[in-house]
Amino acid sequence: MSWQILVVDDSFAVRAQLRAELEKRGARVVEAENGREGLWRARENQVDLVLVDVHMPVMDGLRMIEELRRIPEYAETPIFILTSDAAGSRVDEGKKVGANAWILKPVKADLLWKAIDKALFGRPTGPHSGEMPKADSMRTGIK
Amino acid sequence: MTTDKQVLVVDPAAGTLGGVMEELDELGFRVIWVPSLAAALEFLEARPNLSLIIASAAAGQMGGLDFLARVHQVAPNLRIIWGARPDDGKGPVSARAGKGLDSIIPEPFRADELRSAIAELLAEHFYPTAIADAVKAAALEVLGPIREFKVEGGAFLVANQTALSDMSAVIPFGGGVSGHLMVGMTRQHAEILYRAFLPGIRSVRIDRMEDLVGELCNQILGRINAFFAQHAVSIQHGTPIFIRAAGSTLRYPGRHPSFAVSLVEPKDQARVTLEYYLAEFDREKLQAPVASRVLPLGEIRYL
Repeated sequence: MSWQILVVDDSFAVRAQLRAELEKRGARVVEAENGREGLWRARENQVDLVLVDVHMPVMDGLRMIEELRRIPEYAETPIFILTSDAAGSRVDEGKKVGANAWILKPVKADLLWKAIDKALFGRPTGPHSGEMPKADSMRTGIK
Repeated sequence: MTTDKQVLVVDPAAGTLGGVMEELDELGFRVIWVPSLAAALEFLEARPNLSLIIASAAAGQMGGLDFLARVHQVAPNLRIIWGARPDDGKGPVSARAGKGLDSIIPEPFRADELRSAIAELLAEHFYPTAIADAVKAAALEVLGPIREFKVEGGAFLVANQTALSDMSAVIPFGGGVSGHLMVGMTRQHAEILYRAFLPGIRSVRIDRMEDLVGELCNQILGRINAFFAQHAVSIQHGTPIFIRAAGSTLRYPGRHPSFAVSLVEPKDQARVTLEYYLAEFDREKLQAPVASRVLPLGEIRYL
């Protein structure tokens, strides 16, 4: 079985683009349009990694991560924020709610893939600004 | 911004430039009329914070060079637009205007020509070069990976720049500075971009194209906001508002010019227009030291 990634973004175009890239590399993709739907999907499907936007209607990405971290099954799951917001203060908020990485849009597929690869399998990644904490303790997602 | 949005119109016959004054008023300027160059100097010496002087040829270019010299002594950054009669254009004032500090355009003024001259002379007052460059760079950073684009133009006072757009997305922002970004394009161009963004897609629905326009608007605004964040100006923005109508444009009650940019492909297969509106903004903030806590594009920040 392949591993499963939850993509939460209010833009269909972004979700479709990510789905195409991730499926090309063998992942199964679950989609949600906002944070609230993201929580439902996460509960329905035990996903291995979450990619979530920040600015979304109904429930934003930071609030969703905060809620998701309260679910014991998602306490250690890698969560990447994928957003257009580059401000350092917002990145701090992401860290506070329990995100593992902050990635800016537009993102190159290879860069994103390397980060996912590292999070799921602990492999070395490409250019980045620091080491992901607890990489070894992250769930591998291989089923 | 701290610019005084006042324009002094110099014309012996009140009303000759009535259309011009109306046009400027529409663009958000306070227009003051004086009948002569002498009266203009008197006014300027009392209130040197004007943005612009528009002088009709009828105001007399006799003594124009002395007038220019005095104006630039009192208000070095003040720009002047001179009206020219058909037989003008080679006098000393024209030579001075030809140096790029001012502009000389034939009378009767045509609205588009006047608007273009004002845009050229005053752009820096409203959208400092650093901001204008940030808007252009942001657009290229976001659109560049999809198609090969180049920036065409980049001027302000283009209220109907999005007139050729069938669909637009607007995102208002607030915080350290407020305003909105509007991104628009024709339906045909949106489809070209959509197919480039999602290769292999079979059918393209209008709401899906609209969604892409909104996402591009979101990403471009994010890059512009990153520029402000470097100067410790924090901006928050929400989600896009969609407008499905040709010729959409936005005006805030305060009426302030927008900065408009077009991005085109070399073969003009796709064209994207941006209208960036910035409300009052203290340009001194741009002098603040550059903060390092802004995430650059193409980098992953592990938390």
